[in-house]
Amino acid sequence: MSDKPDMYRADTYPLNLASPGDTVDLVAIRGGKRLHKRLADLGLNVGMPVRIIQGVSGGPMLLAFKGDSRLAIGHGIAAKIVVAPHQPSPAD
Amino acid sequence: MAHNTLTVALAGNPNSGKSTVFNALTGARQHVGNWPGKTVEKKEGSLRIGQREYMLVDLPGTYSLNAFSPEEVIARDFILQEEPAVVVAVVDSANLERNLYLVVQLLEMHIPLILLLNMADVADRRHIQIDREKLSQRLGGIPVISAVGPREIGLEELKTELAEFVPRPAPSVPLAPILEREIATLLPVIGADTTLNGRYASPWMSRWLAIKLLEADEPLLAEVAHNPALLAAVNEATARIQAETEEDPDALLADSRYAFITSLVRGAITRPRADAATRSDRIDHIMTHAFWGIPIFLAIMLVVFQITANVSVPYMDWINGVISGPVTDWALALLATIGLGGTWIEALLVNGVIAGVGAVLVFVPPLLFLYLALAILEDSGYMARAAFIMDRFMQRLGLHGKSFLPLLVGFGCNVPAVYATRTLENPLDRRITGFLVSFMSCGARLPIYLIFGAAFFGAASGSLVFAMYLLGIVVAVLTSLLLTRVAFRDKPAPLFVMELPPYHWPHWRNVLLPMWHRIRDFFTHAGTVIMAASIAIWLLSAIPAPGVNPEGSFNDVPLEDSLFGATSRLIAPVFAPAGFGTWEASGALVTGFVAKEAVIATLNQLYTTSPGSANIEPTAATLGEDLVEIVVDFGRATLLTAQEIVNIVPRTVNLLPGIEMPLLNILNQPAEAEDSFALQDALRQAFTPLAAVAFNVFVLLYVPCMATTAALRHEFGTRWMLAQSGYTLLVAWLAAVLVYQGGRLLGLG
Repeated sequence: MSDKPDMYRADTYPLNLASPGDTVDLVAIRGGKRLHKRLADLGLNVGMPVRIIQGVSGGPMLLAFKGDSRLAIGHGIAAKIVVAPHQPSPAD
Repeated sequence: MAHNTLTVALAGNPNSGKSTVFNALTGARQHVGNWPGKTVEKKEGSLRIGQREYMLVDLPGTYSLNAFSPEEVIARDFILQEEPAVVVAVVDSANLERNLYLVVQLLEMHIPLILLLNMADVADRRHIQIDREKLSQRLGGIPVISAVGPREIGLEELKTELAEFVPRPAPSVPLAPILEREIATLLPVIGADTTLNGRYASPWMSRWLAIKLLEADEPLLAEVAHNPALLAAVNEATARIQAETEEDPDALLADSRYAFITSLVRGAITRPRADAATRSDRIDHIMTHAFWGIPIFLAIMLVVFQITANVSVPYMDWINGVISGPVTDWALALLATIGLGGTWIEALLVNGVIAGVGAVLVFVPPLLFLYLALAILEDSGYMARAAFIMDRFMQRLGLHGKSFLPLLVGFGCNVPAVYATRTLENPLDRRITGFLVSFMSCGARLPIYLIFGAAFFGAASGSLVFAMYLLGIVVAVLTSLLLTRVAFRDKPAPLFVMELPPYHWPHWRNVLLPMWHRIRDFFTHAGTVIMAASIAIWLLSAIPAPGVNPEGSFNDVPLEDSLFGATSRLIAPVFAPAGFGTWEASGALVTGFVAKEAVIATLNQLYTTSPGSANIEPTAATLGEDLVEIVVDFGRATLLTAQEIVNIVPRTVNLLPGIEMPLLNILNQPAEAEDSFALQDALRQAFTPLAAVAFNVFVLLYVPCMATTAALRHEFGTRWMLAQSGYTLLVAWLAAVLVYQGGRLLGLG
């Protein structure tokens, strides 16, 4: 069901531009293999919806995903994560 | 066999409540040490179920069994090499899917498992329902227990399951077809390597090795480096996977594992549809607020320092009274009874050991309060928020939020702070943070500021303390800029990722146990290092320096003509420009290399005692009267402490200009407590206020202590350690001279 999201969606933007309160879909993680693996260990995977709890431009962001997971990421990483406005999947 | 102790390992993510479960199961029967050759804390404890003894090992908290961090390597090696009878996987029920990622990797290793769904209360509150039956069935029938660590719910069931444990075949984790195909090409190559046959002979272990090699796992690639055929096969398989899928094998593996998790929990977990904001999120809206976050953090830190500097004073007076009064009296009386009164042994015991160790023990109360505050901040989840709040600031210094945590721990003690840098992924970040740690003023330095503060600034003593902490931070900031902007200009931009656990009320056991461990270390330190240093200093100051004073003899020589005095006098001129060029000050600083607590112990010995017999007349009080007085004074100290806790509010508010809030003053500090500190009087004679500040600046900044220096060497090597020692000495001297000379120019001294 949760197949790879469309990497070629036109409405994508880097995560650091999202505002607190937004829910976005994670479209891609640009950056090294290590970053990819690290985020996967912490449960952050391409294709999942992510809610932004806190964050201002230039500062770190506080993300909520998969229920109770709360992850802090620096703005450098946020700039490497490509997101798009959340589209509820038909299964939900 | 004679011993039937079974080894049980606890594995789980950080923040899964694993330590709470471990503490609840083992209670006080635990041993905290280090993993062999590593500096990661190893916790072991024993547990008795029925007739059987179990050895419980708390593996380091990890998100995965990759070999990225030392914690992951330790957890993995322990499971592979020690082969525990059972591994209890502790997972956070409210974060089941993510926590199962580690469990799936344990399944890949085919180890006997029990799944503990911890924090079931949090999941309940969030209306998350987990079908344990279904989960157990899909995991090949392994026991699945729901538990609440702090309230010890589910732990009896865990013990029953441990007692009745039967290993069951674990389900294999299905992987993407292309991965299965490539693993099949590697298995014969692994099977043909006879050197690998021992550990990887079983079908599941050779499959595990194949998976890990495809994941480019560095330690395992090194382990098979002797086999070029195998390495070539791995490279070819990786290349085929990349060519066909345009993805790395490890990304595909992560996808396969998450897909397996999805199939595990499908229909076994129900959660409310809307991903609503939790109570924790509502707190975070305020605590991590872009604007309010930092003032709130500073206010919290201010309260912590108020508690350590002011609230603990009554108990310090009490301990000081007990040691200089009854304890000294008892020692003198005892020595007199066995005929040693007035001898050098009396002087050694009373002026050396009791005065030296006693001067350090007085500081147990402020340290208790400091450790209590740090443990509460840690266990409530606020510590992680502090890292988040400070990330922006730390980025300016070329570091990131996570570097802030070791620095915060450094306020307690620099030694664990050096080891706490291990949570940083980048080795250079680790090095730089370790370099800065010693500028965080640790608990052992606090007594020195408190004594000088009380002697020179009376009620404003808290300001000296606060100024010292602040100066340490400023020097750390400047040093960090020097390192990241000049020395390591090419350092890559720091990457900050960190899990934030939900807020919760601190549990008494999680707060008191670490506090107890640290205070116990402090007592051990006082009983060993400080006692040895006290005896050594006493001996050195009792032995006449050759050729200085012909009339001096052992235990009958003016201090300045003793061996200690003569040596210190050699160093003293170095500190003349900083205003404290006396041999006593230099002597105290030299002993401060051993441990900063020793500075006070030495000053106390040098200034408040004279050679010869102890010169103290025991009071005529009986043992009973002494004991009654000790208890009554303790009661009064407790009431005074309560009063000081209330006074935190006005003291904090009064820091704002233009506001004057009266202090609660129902009970007055006992008047004699003030002059009971003979050392304070002596310090006022020996230092000008400006020189006292310069001395404190030097104490704050120079080489922390032997233990921290050894930790730095252990973590970063001899060269980095020497660089750190040299730098801190230089900076400390420059800063002290700057303060003293600058102050004199401004007419302050």
